Amino acid sequence: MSDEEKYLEIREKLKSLETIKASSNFTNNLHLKIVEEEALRRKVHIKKYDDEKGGFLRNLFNNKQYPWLIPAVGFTMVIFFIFYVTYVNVDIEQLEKSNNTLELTDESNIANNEPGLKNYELKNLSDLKNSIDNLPKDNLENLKNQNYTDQGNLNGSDLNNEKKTDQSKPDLALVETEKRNVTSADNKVFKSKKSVEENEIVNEPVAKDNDSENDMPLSEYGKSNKPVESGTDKRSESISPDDNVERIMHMKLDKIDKTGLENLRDKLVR
Amino acid sequence: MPGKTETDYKTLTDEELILLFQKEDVRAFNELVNRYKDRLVNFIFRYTGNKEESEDLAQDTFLRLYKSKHLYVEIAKFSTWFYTIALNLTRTYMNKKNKMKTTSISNYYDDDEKDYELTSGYILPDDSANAATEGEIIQKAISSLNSKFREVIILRDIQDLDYEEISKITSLPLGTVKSRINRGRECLKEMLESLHKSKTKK
Repeated sequence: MSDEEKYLEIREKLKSLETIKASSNFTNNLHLKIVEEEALRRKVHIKKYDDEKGGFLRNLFNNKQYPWLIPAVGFTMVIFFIFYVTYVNVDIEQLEKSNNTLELTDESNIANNEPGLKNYELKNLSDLKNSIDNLPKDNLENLKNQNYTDQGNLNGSDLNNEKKTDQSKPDLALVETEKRNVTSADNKVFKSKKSVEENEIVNEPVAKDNDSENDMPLSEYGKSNKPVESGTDKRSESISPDDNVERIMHMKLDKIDKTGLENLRDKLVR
Repeated sequence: MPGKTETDYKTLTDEELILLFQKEDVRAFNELVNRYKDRLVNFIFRYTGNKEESEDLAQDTFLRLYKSKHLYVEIAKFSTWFYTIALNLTRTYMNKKNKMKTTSISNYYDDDEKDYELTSGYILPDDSANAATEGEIIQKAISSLNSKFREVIILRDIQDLDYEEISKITSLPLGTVKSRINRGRECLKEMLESLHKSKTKK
């Protein structure tokens, strides 16, 4: 006897139970529920969309789609903050410090000297002054005696003219002192070079007279490269040895003076 | 589907209808509602014993179908899938209801003698005097059954589903389903006998 047959009576009783049917307004109520659900879903969607419209940071930290972004962004921000504190902030402080010192030096210079002069000019002039002060006194006296100031390209008048281009009314006293300083500095360079040249020129004829052929470099054919003395060479032809030496010295001094003073001029301009 | 009439929808199987509904064909959904609404209300009513609740739960089941239509996969039988939804909703509802009904007001007092207690909605065999008809007595007997026997008996003997389908709906092994059905029937038989005895005594 199977289970179905065993409980046949109870099964028939259960099957004979009246079937409960849905009420007539079941479908209408169902449709109403569906409409309500749709409206609710739309509302939720709109709310979600509005939330997404929120600020950048709000979206970033309320991001439910990519929650792993939150620690990553936080870590990046911390790194940027540390970088800012350690590097950028320090640089700004240093810059501020240096600016303060520059302002202070400017103010002191203006207070002590002339307000019209530019800072770099004052600085260059003061450097020149210091270099001259360090020179031995004998050299300075020699320079004054020889009066080379009028020969240079950058003499006192030139300097004065330059300053006039930079400012409308320079302090004449200061310009005078700086003029003197500049010329004496020029003279220092000039003097040192001059002494070297003099030694060379004085010693040259003697040395070359002794062994002029051996001192000159040989060409590849074994001939000497020494220039052939001709009538065009005035230095050796028409001038006496003493005059010759002096003239050559002046010529060379002109040459040296030009280049040296041009360098000085560049320095001053800088 | 614009070319189809209502009669065409009636000839379609449940699976074809749900596939059409997945393509946003609302008329297919309406056809499914028409096919299943009575069966579903009857199934839930036998489970809960309350007509209003059963209609509400049946509507909720259809609503769930409406929202989750994309979750249906063609490999399963539609009725199995649909009954599973209904059963889960009904179980959840009944669990909530039972929790609410077993809450005793006298629990708030320390007195040993309880003045009164809120009783559960289940009708015990002793209450058979109130039952008017045979159908009502059987319904009360079903309602007083343990839920694990009740659901399989309703599905098997009232909804007339086969064992395999019940096994899928309840997510139980076939043997367990069979044994539960037999045990439920046995319990129900005993309950009905005692009810009849008490009725005849009165």
